[in-house]
Formats: sequence, structure tokens, C-alpha cells
Amino acid sequence: MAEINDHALSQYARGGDVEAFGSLFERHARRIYAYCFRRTGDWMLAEDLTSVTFLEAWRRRDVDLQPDKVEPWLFGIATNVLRTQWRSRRRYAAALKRLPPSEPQHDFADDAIERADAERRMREILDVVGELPRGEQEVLALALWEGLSQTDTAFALGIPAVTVRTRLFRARARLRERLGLADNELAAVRTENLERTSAHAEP
Amino acid sequence: MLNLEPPDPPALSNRRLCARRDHLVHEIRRLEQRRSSSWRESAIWARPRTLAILGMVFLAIGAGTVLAVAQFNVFGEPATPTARGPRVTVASGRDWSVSSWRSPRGVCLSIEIPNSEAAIRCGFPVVGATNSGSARERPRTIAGMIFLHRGPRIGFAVGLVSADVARVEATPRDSTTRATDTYRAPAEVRTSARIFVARFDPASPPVAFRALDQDGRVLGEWRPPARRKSVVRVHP
Repeated sequence: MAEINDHALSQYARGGDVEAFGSLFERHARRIYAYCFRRTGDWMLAEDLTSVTFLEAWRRRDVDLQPDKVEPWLFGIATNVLRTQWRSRRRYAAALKRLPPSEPQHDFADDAIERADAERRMREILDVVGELPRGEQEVLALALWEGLSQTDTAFALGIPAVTVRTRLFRARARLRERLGLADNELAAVRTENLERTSAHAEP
Repeated sequence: MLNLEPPDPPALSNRRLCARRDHLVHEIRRLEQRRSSSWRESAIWARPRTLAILGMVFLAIGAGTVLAVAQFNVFGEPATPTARGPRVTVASGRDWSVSSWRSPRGVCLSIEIPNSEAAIRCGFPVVGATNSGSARERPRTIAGMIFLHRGPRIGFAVGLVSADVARVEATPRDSTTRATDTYRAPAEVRTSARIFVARFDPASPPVAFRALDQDGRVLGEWRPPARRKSVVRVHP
């Protein structure tokens, strides 16, 4: 049986189909969670923000999306949730309190070390990236870290694609200056993504 | 060199993902259920609530109208009250006349310019004169009304003074004094008060009227209000 695509699921969800929306969650929750983690450096907060993002997406499900824009739309909502994370979490505080408690896991110590290590590394990066203007941080996270095309990044942020390019350029320049790197030494910021997203950009 | 390559986030296990998914679906269902029940509640109550609100609005409008009418009746003196007895001419000239009669609101006085307009006011409570005015108003030695005619440009001041007043003086803006005519009230009006009538140039209306006794002592003063709100103009 052919898999139902995102667009169809979003249309079902628009009609009030909660299970279809649950399927959308299954497909995109990990990507949104990764994005939230990379923006906050806190995996527990990232999990909560992922839930909040989808609750908020349900509330805004009446938008008429183009077939390939479901994921960028979710990234856009996640970005808004991140911008106003304290307000968003307060809004859904009661819902988050109703989350069932986590079940005990095997190899807890290994998981804890892995999580602590990931959080530490992410926070080091955020210390540097956090000095960029917010708009540049968002473009950098979506286009470079999450690998969205410039068009999709522009859609998610509700800005023109040319602004995405400008912000990326400025973000890279600022980071090079901040880190004292040469042009070819910023490979660590996934320049392959940048090249790929540039290729996807609208003329 | 700081590596800006972000790490992969700690794994979100299938179990945690399913728990989050179930929680999401549960919360959405809960939200929708609450929304639909609140909609049903509002649908059930919408009509009675609307009717109740409309009822209250109409009640408020009705009460306001009744109050306004009552206010108007009390303070506005909208029309000449029913006469209790004949209308008697007190004084008259070539182109004017002042008449008086009794009414439930006390003594009524009218100034008439034939074929033009007239001013009527009822109730001039003066000291010692029963039935001269409303019991709600404080009696004074002198009470009156001003009438400025729009046509031939003449002005009148008429009113009542208590029985012990011998004469009434008008004080125009230039601080001079002018005597006014005082008359015994007609017997039909059945009051001990006296009636004064003063004619003046509307360009310099009197600012005060003083009531004096036989010895020239001032017994009271009346300053006409700037707005003659209780005078009813009657057009023929």
C-alpha cells in the first residue's frame, strides 16, 4: 500500500483527523526535536518544545500548504515557539504536566553521559553562535544545521529568499571574524549544506 | 579551533517518541472535546442569554426614559400647568400685557406680546405667601423671571415679592437704580404676595432686583440667572 504523503496527512488533519496529525508527528518529531536541541542545548527542553510545536501546529492547521511545505511549516512554528519559549511553555504548561513519567531505561549511565556530552558541546557552539543577531542564528540553524533549502528556510521564517542569503553571508562573516578564521577554515559550519541550499535557491 | 559542527542530539527513542505521540493525540482530543462542549454550551445558552441581555437593555432604556421624563416634569416645566381659577391681567401697555393665575405649581405669570410670543412661568415661592410656589423650593423675599423678546427688542422682568415689600428696584449694569411697578395680586390668584413688573432695554438687562420695605431697607435681592431655563416661550 502506498504511503500517504505529508500533504495528504496535513489535509486530513485540517479536516480534524487527529490520527493523521499523529502520523505527521511520527514523521517529523525527530527533526523538530533535533532543531530544538540545537537551538537550546537542552534535550529535555527540546522534547517539551517539540510537543509544544505540534500542539501549536494543530491550532494553526487551517493554513493551506503547498505539498512540499509541511516540514518547513513545522520548522517555522518551532522557530516561533523557540522565540517565545517561556510564553509557549506557560501556555501549554498544563498539557506538559500531563505527560506520563519516563520509564526506567537500560544503560542509563551511558545515556546520561552521552546526553551530557552532547549538551556540553552544543552549549559551547551556542555560546559563539548566540552572539549573532537572532535572525542570523535562525537562518544558520535552519539552512546549515538542519539542511533546509534557502527557499524552505525563507518559507519557514516568512522572509524573502534573498534575505536568507544575506543573513547567511553575514553570519558566516561574523563567525569568521569572531573566530579569527580564514575563508576556507569555516568548513565546520557545514559548508556542504550551504552549497547544497544555494543550489536549491530560487533564481 | 572551535568546531561549529553541531552534535547529533541525544537519541529520541521509539518508546519516548510513542509516548510523546500518544500524549499529543490525547491532548488534542481533550482540547477538541472541551472546545465542542463549550460550543454546545454556548449554543444552548446563546438564545436565553441574548434575550436576557436584550431585556436588560430595554429595561435600562425604559427606566432612563421614565427618569428623563420625570426630570423634565420636575425641572423643565414643559407646559403650562392646569389653571385653577381665571387668568387675570395684572398690567398692560400698548404692545404687552402681564397676566396671572393659580395653578398646582403655585402662581403663574405670563408676559405676552400680542401677535408675537409669550413667556410663562409658574411657581414663585415667596416668604409668607401661601401657594405662591412649589413646596420643594426655598421661599425667598423676591422671585421672578426675565423675558427678552426677539421681535421688537423689549425686555421684561416679572415676579412676586412678599407682602411686606413696598417697592422693587432694578439695577442695570451701570449700577444706577430704577424703580419698577408693583401691583397687588388679583384676588382671583389668592395670594398675599405682590407682583412686580419691570420693562427694560434688552441691550442692558438688569443684573439684580432688590426688594425694599417702606423705610428703604433691603429685604431681599434676586439676581436673574444667565440662562432663563424655566421660562416657556409660547409662539402664537
